[in-house]
Amino acid sequence: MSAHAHDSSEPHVLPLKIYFQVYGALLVLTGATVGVSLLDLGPNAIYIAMLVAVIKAGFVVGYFMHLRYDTRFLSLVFFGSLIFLVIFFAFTFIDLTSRDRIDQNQANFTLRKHQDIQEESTGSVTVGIKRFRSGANPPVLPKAPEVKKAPKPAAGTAAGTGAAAGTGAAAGTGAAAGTGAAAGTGTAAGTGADPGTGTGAGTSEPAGGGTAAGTGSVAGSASAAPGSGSAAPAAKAKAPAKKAPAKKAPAKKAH
Amino acid sequence: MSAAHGDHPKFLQHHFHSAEQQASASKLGMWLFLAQEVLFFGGIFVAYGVLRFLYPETFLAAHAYLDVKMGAINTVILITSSLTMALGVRAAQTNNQKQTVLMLALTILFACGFLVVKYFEYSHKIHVGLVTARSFSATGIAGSPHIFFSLYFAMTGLHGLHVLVGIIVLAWILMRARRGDFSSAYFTPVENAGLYWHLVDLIWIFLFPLLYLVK
Repeated sequence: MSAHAHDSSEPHVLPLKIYFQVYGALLVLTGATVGVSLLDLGPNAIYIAMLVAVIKAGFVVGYFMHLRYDTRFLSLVFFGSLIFLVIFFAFTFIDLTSRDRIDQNQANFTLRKHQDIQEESTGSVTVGIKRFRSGANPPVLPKAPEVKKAPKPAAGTAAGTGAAAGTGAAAGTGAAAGTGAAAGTGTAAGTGADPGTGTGAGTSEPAGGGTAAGTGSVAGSASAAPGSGSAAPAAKAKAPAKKAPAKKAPAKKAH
Repeated sequence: MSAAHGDHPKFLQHHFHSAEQQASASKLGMWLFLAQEVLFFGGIFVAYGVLRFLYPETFLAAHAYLDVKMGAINTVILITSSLTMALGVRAAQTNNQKQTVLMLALTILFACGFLVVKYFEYSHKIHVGLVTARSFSATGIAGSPHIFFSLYFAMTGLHGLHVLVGIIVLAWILMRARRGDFSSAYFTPVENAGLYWHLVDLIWIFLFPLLYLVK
């Protein structure tokens, strides 16, 4: 029995070369992430950073973790959890970005609170910090390397939650798609440019309507992107396709 | 019964039919655990998303106080440790005990290196008052920096804890590898410890750009 089991259970051993290739790719991609962050890409940078992170994750999961060569059931378990993470992200951000469509006061409240903190640096928050301080001289902070990109300029605040909504929702997508594989973020990155202009009005509605509507066309473009991803079971393809339309729709709407 | 007992390979538990069944059951359990880990970390990633959405300027201003160089070094360290881990599993699969031990030792070494870098980062931040809650005493950062740093410490702290646990687990596997527990017929513990270690790497792959490279 023991000898027999031994024979039939020869482990699946990957050639050494693959490990070093994957390692090289991971190092290059790490360099790319840092490099891209030095460029002045503005709010789009996060989509690219997340896209790169997803590709790296694909390499690690697919090869180092061997998922590509394991039974599909293990992929189902892993990507299943990612689908729930996407749901977690999606609904949180649908709520966060669409409150103003139900109740304008809620949106204003968020915005005002945010501005308060920005404008009066002696606002409640800072006061709170001061109160807790032990009395001794606060340690002197080293000068921070100056922030290259001016924080979302006046337009950003003026456009209000809408503009922010575009990016925010995308951030959700990006990270969540992290899960999904290259496919999801590929689209997110592609459309990333639009939502900034798409702004205010259209944010929440497409989240609902778009989900159903855009799936077909977007799924098409999404499937072109992946390549790098790992095991790519049906479950994986599904997650990004679901997300993408929410992003794509506002851009169309803006036209 | 006792005859059957003698027939078992030492590593095969009685309640399993065969070595393959035992291996696949064990691996499934590990992946279920990893799925749980994804959801466990997921909550804090969602918190990050929401807070970054609400306070974009704060994130932009506060992240400048993190040391990108150290973050990048740690990324490379973790990726390298993932490589040595994968090579360690491969060595076990190919009955190369010496290399298994060596690769596991290297992985532990890199893991410790990661924590050392993290220690320098943390101690610097604590020194200048960029800590969470009541101890936060830094001034001069726009917005509500304590929010960013609470997240920073929560996310990297949780991750660091996983690294620490990883070191302990890998040390145990290393000890067993030295004892000669593993072979191409039985390497599940090495493999599962490796899966855990790769997940720790995976999470850092997302933490690094989200915390250090905010734009």
